[in-house]
Amino acid sequence: MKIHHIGVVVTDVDEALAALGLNRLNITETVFDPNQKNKLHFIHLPENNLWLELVEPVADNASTAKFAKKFSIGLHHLAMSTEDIEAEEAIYSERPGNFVLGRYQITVDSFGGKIQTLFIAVKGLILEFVKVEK
Amino acid sequence: MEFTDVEQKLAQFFVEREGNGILEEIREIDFIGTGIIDSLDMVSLAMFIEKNFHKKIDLTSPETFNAARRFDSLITLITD
Repeated sequence: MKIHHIGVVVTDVDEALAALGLNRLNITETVFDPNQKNKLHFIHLPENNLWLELVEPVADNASTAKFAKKFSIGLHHLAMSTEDIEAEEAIYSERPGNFVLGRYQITVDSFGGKIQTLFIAVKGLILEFVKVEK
Repeated sequence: MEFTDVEQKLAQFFVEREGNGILEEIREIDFIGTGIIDSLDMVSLAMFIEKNFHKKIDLTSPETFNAARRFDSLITLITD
């Protein structure tokens, strides 16, 4: 499996950027996700050929609001690239301790345009699968 | 308060978080409204139910979320 990006939930983007030795100029793209009510700030880390996603909840009922309130800055999920979301769901969802949390579609130009995502809790680890639609 | 075996087992999930005092009013509490269960706890609750009742609940379903509000509706979710 190839790691696609790492998701970090933040209450204050500038505070998180400073903690990581980054600044707003490092943000390649910001997207609002209306389904989960989060702002998503994408940062490319060329040394690692990896994306960092700063997830900023913008409403009390955002999918990450409680997580942000609890940790302020917290490692939230690990995202993997996939060519087949349905196959990943079939493999992961039936395993003991695994639970599907949601499936979404969103456009992220930095990731190549329209993407499908699948979030699965693997016990205490949240995995996201990302498929770029061609 | 009298509990069936299934109820007693489920109640343990809440006792571990809130203490024995919760048993006094467990049937009256809105677990989500009072913040006893939040979105983070839903995965823990799902894992607890799977481990203890061998039932995998659907966390993407609004019905599951609604059932998680009340003790009796959780019992229905588990036993149906």
